[in-house]
Amino acid sequence: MSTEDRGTQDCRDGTLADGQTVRGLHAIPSVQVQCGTDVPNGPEERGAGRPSRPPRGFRSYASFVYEYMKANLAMQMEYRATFIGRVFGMMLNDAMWLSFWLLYFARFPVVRGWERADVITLWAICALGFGLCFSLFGNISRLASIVVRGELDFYLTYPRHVLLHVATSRMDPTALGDVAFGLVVFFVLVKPTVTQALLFVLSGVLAACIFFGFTVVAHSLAFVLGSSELLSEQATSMLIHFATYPLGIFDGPTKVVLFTLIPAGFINSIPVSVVRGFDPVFFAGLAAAAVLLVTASDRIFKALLRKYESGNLIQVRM
Amino acid sequence: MTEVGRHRQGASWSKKIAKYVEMLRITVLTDLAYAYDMLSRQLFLAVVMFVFVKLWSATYRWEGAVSIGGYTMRQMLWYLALTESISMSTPRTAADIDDDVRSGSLAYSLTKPYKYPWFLYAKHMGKALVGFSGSLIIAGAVVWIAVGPPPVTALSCALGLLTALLACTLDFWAQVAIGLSAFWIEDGSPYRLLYSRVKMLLGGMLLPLELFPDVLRRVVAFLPVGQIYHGPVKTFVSLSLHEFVGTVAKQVLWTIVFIALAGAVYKAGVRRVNVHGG
Repeated sequence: MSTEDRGTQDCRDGTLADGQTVRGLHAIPSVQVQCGTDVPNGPEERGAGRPSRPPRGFRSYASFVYEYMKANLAMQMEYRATFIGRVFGMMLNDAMWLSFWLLYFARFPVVRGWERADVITLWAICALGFGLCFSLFGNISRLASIVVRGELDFYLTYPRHVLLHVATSRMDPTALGDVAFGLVVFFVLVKPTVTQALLFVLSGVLAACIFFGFTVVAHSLAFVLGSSELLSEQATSMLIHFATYPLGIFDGPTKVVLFTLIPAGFINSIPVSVVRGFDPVFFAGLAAAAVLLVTASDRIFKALLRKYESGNLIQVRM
Repeated sequence: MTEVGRHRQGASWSKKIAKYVEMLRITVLTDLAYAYDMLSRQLFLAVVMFVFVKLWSATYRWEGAVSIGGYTMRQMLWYLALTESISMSTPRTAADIDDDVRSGSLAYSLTKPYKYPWFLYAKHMGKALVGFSGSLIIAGAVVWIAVGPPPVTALSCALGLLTALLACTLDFWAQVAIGLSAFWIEDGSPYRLLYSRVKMLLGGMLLPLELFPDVLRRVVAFLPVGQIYHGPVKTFVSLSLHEFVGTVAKQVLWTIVFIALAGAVYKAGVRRVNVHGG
């Protein structure tokens, strides 16, 4: 059974994915034509014709994300030269920013306890975290725009977790350049021990969760504020900007903001508090912040989804 | 040539220039009509400057220095406010040219009674003028609160403006040369990204050239990227007539080089334009 069939079956009586009741959604769902990539809803769905039950479970969702990832990548590879150019372009972009720091630390070897290796680690962590988040869930950077234009209908008609479905349905190809940059720079320039390497990868995943959670919350404001794409983009840019500067340069009140409102402090503390010298209390805080942000973003998205109004659009997904 | 002939030629030149000045005026008015929108888009610059204030405050305190690379903290932060304002307000002309070539709009422009590159130049300068003013209001406000008014004099402002205009012109012609490469290449965005990042790093946008390692500083001081941010901004915040003359000379030289290069690329590229009816 194809995804289109499932969508039609599930939405015919007005039941929406994940049991969402969406106020303001028009009775007639928007017409969708999907071409090219047909992403299965998970292994249990391949037996066609059975009455459907919303698929649950980690394996099912892992398979779902994996299939979307393959489809997204295949789509990018249709324009191979452009794709490779973008990936290398992003690596170059990151390299230029890192070069600024290398020039800075060539002139000032230590600033507030931060050294050259720390800032290399910081850039590697940020690149890895950002890259993992946006190469897997690239559509979250368009979430506000999707909400404002009323383009969520397509996702609401599927028996899948709406946020996960929206997030995975597009990748940012340049984010793969960030992932490659983060890994190459860390392993080549920092020359870590095995423990440091493990902590680095784990921290990169937790940083990705923070990027994901914060971006989703920022873009979910569109449910309430309407055309807030610019605000959402600027909030996400703020997180990225603060995360790429050493925590040591910020003082009291700013630090409070960086560990609450804009959780960049959890990311830009990683080089000193996790990789250089492991602080278990900080690491537990980092993990808790990552889990809390992802959970909160899901809850906030679901709660605000009630305010969504359909654009009643006819869309063609290619 | 007779007096009448000279007079007619002069009038013809003034008419030619007048239409580009009019295009510049229209661009300025168009951008000013969306001034609040533009300012809201540039609000992020306040965050960038706030972080710079924190970084350089920490650096000066940690070093225990009054001056670093010949810059006091006030000069350093105003230097960065000006470079960031120039950077944020630089129009993406290379991308516009790329679009025009790919979409075929260029063929439409060829039938108009103006030279396509000079038309773009008028637009570029108009956008840069409005964008720079808006960016400077935001970046300047943050830095003013942090370290006080800009360390400028009337003379440094006047000469700084002159070099800033030349820098904008130089950047425009470099962008034209890159943008017109769309006649031959599939996707010009990696080249545009490369240019903007080289300009950002080596042009002294994030760090004055005086803080670069000696050899690198000497090389970059001669390259075109060194004349786009560092030259004009140094004139504003720390005027030296000797350096000002050197900056202007290098800006004029590199502008001539890029005009010649862009002209050659344009002539070769326009021959490849196929216009179909309809």
